[in-house]
Amino acid sequence: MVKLSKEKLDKVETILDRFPKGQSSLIGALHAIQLEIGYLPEEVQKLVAEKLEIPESTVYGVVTFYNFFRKEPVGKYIITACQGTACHVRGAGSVIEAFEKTLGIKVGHTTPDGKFTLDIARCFGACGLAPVVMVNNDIYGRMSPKKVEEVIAKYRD
Amino acid sequence: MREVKLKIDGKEVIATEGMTILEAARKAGFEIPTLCYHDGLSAHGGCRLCVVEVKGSPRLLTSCTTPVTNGMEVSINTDRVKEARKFVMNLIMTERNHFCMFCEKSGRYEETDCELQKRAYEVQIEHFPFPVYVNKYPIDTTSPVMVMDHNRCILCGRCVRVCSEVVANSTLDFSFRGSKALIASDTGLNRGESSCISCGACMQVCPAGALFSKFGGYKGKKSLCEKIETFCPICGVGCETTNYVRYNNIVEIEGSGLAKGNLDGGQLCEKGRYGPLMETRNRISLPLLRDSRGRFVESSYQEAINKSIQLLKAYSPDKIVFRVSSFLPAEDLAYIKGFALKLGVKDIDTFDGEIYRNLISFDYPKANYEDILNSDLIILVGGDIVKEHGVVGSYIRRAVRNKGAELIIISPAESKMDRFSKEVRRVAEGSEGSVVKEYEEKIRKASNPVIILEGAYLLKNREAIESWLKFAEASKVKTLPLPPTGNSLAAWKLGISSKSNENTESGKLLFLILGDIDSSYSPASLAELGFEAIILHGAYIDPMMKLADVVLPGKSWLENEGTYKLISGEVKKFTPILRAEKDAKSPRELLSELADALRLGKIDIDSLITSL
Ligand code: SF4
Ligand code: SF4
Ligand code: SF4
Ligand code: FES
Ligand code: FES
Repeated sequence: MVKLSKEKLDKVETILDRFPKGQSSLIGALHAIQLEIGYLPEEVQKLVAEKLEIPESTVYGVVTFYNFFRKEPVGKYIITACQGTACHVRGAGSVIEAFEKTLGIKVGHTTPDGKFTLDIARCFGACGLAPVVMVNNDIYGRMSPKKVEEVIAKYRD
Repeated sequence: MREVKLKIDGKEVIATEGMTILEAARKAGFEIPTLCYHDGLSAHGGCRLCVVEVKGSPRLLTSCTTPVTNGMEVSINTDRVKEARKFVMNLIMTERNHFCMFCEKSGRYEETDCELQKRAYEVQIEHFPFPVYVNKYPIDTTSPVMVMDHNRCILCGRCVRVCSEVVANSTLDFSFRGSKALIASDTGLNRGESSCISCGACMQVCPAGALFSKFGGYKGKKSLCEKIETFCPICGVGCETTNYVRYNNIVEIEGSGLAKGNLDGGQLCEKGRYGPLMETRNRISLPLLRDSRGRFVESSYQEAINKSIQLLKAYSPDKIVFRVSSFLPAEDLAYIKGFALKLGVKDIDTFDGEIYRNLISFDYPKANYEDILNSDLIILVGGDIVKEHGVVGSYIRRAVRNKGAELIIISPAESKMDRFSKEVRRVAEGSEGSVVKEYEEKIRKASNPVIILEGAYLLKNREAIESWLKFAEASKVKTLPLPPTGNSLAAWKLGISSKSNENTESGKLLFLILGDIDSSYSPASLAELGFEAIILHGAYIDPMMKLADVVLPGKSWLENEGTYKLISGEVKKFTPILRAEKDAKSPRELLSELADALRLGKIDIDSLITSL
């Protein structure tokens, strides 16, 4: 597990000092912290629980309930593979698998070098190009497992 | 409270304001099936099995969350309701893996240990009309006492509620959502690595096969067991228990009061729920005698009795010493005392007699459980309360979580209580008294401070106890010293201790009565005192047996009926859960045989027991 720097943890503490104790502060505090440091790792969740004096399980429950909250840092490039019906039918599954294999991470995670995050979506409205993958704002249509390495290479600098 | 009149299935029903339809209906003798609802917990309204039709409402309403109102007309069994229930059950059964034939809790309608399956039988689900969701969910076996199979979880949230509302440990909550939803421990940890204290309350309330005991497997359904209602005498809290027994084996122990709304909420601690199932020591199953060449040999019960009588006759009363466990029913304790008196023996003590002598020399106000719940400052000194008096720990957590009480822990060892405290003070074992001064000011300033003294080692330590109790006495701070065994209070009340202060025991006969505990509880190392002869009576194999001349098998507390004096002051009679082997006797059974042989006359204990 990556440890947050002392500096970042101090920032989190400062943010938490602004919030009154109790569960009603939870979502607001998590939002503010994520805006500041980008994600909500376990040590941050624990700190939130301690400072707001609520159970850790409550914090974890809220962090995992909303897709908006992230437990891991987001990479420089977010690769979003569509898993909508059209893309699914035309082989999105094997494309996603190829990304997982090539990057060495599962969907929802980020490579240890902080470069790529792999995510899935439900239809970009570009079904004609299925299967579709987006890297940040670039669109790649008619994807196949073979093309995966090629796409990634473009962002490897 | 105001009366509310309503009609249920055409029948006039009188309820009180604030009741839900479900409560009013059940009180009036109607049955509405439920799943996520539990008597002892807040309503959740999640499963929708309890829906009813209310005149004027287009939607079906969940009866467990809808309050009654005047003039309400409720129908609980219309076709529409029945269909809705069946639909809900079908959804739940196909949401995850409910292939009952592979589930530990499954059984025929009369036999199943699974509430979910029972409800499914009731709404007549013979097959799954929807495709079954086949996602695989984790199975968490890391807890020392239970298994959590997320594949069989119906997300009813009972476990979450009991852990936070009753146990006040708040380990559990929902995480993720939709088909990914999982009951999580802390920040998604494995249960075995989480803040869970293994009390098993969640396991008891789980209506499905998701949470089950690691000790009940393959021992048979609870419904096939004999059910014995009594209480747990282990620590002196005396939590009420329901014991499921089959072929003289305990299958499961449950807390009895979960629905009653009593102070402890019907919980048990790890020791109470699983302790008897985790016992690994071996029993003393046969009488043993030392033969002329010093070897231990099995003997008949009568031979062992004869040898004991011979020894008791061979020593004069001032050369006989009784050392006794205080974890014995009061009847045994009283009988031992009466026996010793008749024999003329003066030196008799319990292993915790020293603690008693420490405690009585101070006059401090006593704290009770309510005091803990209403306290604003709790000072917890000594051992790990979660392990020793688990359920008292829940009162502390409730005060901290619900009332904002401050908890200060002064202890040599880590505890799962630590996370509820903002100030944990690590001190060396036995030096807990050295820090009293630092906290005096703070305690005096609090409005309802309570001091809790935990752990036999602490109470034995004259210095530590003196510092705290002197302060409690002088400042009139309510204090609760938690007794080392489940019947210490009876032993102390009966005045068993009249120990001589001799340092050498050579030339003497030791009558050692251990019950369930082992001789290491003795403050002095008995082996080194140089007794000339030893009679040992106890339930479990003990190191002192090496030195004994006669060993007699004893009953364990599970087999021994009798009276206990609880921390609350209540005196309760324990009903045995298991049958003892033929030769295993309680101390009073054994001693009365010896008393007859020694012609000691009748030993009357009735007045002592009523004086408790
Ligand atoms: S065993 Fe007790 S402490 Fe652990 S999760 Fe269950 S209810 Fe909570
Ligand atoms: S584990 Fe049991 S009690 Fe907890 S939510 Fe799942 S089914 Fe309900
Ligand atoms: S708190 Fe004490 S009485 Fe209650 S279950 Fe635990 S050991 Fe038994
Ligand atoms: S289904 Fe993939 S873009 Fe529409
Ligand atoms: S029992 Fe009422 S909604 Fe579950």
